[in-house]
Amino acid sequence: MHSRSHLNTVIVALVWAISPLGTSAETKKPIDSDAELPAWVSKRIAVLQPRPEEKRLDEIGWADDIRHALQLAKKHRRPVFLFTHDGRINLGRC
Amino acid sequence: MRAGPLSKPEVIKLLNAHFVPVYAVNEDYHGEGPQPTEERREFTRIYRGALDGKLSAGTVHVYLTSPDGKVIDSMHVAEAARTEKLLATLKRNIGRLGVPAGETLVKPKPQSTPPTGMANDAVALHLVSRALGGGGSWGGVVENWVVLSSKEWAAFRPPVAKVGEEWRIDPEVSAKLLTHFYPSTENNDVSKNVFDHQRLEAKVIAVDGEGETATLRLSGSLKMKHTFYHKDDRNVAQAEMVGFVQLDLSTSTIREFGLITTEATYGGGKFAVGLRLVALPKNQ
Repeated sequence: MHSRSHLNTVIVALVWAISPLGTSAETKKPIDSDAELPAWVSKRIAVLQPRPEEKRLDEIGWADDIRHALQLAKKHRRPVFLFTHDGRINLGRC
Repeated sequence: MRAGPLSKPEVIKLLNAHFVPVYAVNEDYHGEGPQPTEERREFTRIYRGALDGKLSAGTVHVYLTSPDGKVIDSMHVAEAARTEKLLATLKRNIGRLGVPAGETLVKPKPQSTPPTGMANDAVALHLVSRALGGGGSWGGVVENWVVLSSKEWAAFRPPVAKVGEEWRIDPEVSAKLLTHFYPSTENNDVSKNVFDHQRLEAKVIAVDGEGETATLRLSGSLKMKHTFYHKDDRNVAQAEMVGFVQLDLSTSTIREFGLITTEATYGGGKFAVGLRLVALPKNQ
């Protein structure tokens, strides 16, 4: 029993360590302490924020709109890459 | 595309060095969308240019134009979303046009930014929704920006600044926030969401100074029908949440706002949502 309990502890610790979210993104028991509530909530919101590898779209030099892209293309003799889509790719809601 | 090829370093490098990348939101180019006539004209010209050139064309599509704006290639998103296929197309056209590598023409910048043109007394809240496994969504992380007018965020001001005071947040205001509480799905038209119930309650837990600031505890829940695609299904988002608000009672402003789900499910999977106030420049 002891070794199984120890193994479970190790597994939980490993999951926490390798997961950027740990288990803090979801907890069924909200904090009771009023004094600690703001810090508790803020910390969990911070954990949810997009990570750099999830924001690589920001590494692309997007033109403001199609006309802007066409102006730059003509001036610098480059082709335009246009992606048309439904939703909002900048928010991931697409 | 965002989590696929548009996150791959080799694609990003080619786009920045050889192309002028741009994306267009279809909704902005039709009906009451904000794009002006001249911009819509180019959007339509490229679409028709693909058809005239016997190339593929569609609403969710990649189009490549020559430096003079003529459509020279196109790909359906199902093809373009496969990194190796997109890379092959990009490289083929770079070779065909003989485009040398150069500097990125537009400085890369964050694409998710607070709304502009807000009233001085409005507040902007930033929402993040992250899938936590179990399926039911596209996975990953998505965002929203929600702007509350001064009249709307007044719903968070306590009727009486006294510890223990409790009230329900105006359902129209809480609905405006909670309608975005779902993970990444194909459908993002929140006007189609249908609440079974939604509720956000506030309680004063601290009053500091001589009634200058107040801290509220928020708690709430929702059950909301939200279809995954733009056709009817049985998917429902359910969530429990907790949060806080710090108010400056002397100036009637919100200092801090945080709301986070403690449990949330959709389509058999789990997700988490965090919503917080974002400080904006004074001129916003």
